[in-house]
Amino acid sequence: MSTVFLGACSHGPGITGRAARADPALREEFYRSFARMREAIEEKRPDALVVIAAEHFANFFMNNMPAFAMGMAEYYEGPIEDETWLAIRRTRIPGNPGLSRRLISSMLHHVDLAYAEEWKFDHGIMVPLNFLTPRYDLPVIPVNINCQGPPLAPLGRAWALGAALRDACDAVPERIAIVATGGISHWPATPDSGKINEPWDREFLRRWSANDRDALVSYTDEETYREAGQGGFEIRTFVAAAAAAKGAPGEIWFYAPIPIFAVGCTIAVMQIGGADTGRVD
Amino acid sequence: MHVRVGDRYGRGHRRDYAGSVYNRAVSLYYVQKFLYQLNRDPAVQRRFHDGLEGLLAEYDLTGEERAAIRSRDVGLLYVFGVNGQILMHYAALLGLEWNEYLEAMREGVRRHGPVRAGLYAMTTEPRA
Repeated sequence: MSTVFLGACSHGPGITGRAARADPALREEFYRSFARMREAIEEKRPDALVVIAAEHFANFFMNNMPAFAMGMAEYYEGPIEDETWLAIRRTRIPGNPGLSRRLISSMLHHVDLAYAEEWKFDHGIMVPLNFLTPRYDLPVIPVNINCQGPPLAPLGRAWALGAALRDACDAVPERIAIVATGGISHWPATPDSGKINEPWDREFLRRWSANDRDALVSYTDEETYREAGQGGFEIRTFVAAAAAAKGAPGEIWFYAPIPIFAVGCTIAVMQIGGADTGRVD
Repeated sequence: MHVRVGDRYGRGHRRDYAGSVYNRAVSLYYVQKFLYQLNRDPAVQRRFHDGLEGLLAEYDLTGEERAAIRSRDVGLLYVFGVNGQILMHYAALLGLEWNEYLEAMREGVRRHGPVRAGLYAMTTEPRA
């Protein structure tokens, strides 16, 4: 079995693009937690990083919107956004099409998954990579859950995706790190940007840390939209990560609302074990 | 045999339904499609700067939508219902500073009224 790391993090474009406007002490504490996650991943010597993302119309649009998609490309490119605006240079990120193909083939037994041999990353993947693989030297395999253009896959299906991903990763010889990335409550890119429902976030993270499947998949999109904004739909990525943990509990390394980053900034890991060998037994 | 979608349902062109909720939703689709392709494709970005009219002619847009794009009216695009995740990237492409972007949306609502369609006009949708 070779899932060697499993975590979750935020990805708002303000995290890099509007860094100078955040409270410096809070920002640095958040960045240190990102660094801690990078070190934890490096310690496990992964062969690839699977990113469970919620992209923002960089590749997928309402003309042909997959509920779930996975990258099978030799390389990826990003960010699509203006480099100065995001404060991340445009670059090419290595993939691993052979590994992608094996994972996708395995997952298709359990979830209907689109694949893509061409994929441009937006801030939703580039911001995490900027902190977690800053030299872009670790092959990345993106997984996308449509969290932007309803109708969206129900949370129970996001759970099924995460479970299928874990099984697939455990069945290949490569050592795989998985990072899910999304926001909890937030109203990104709207006039309400900066609004964060902290109690809602903390309750969600409590359920996530407890890996309480029933509680995690019980949110309706109507309730999420009302309490957590349209950005709250991205909890699907956290739900998939919880499923991939196979019942293991989670630990929140960092959580703090940072309004100029438009999200309750989160760094969290699932305690899937395997610290010595890097393997999950 | 080539069958037009409109024919199949016994309908004419979508503009026969001008003013209906159906028409607005369809129209929002093409505004968003234009912005989506613009945001992600440097070749479309070059045409945006050097051949906008020819580019716009390829999309099924209303006159009001074309005008909003020509005048770079981010606020009106927001009022049309363009998803913020599309609009934010477009605003970045235009070089709008973050506060200018937020203020453009607020000004759009002040000038043109509430968001007309899409996610932000949602009351009971979507349901799980």
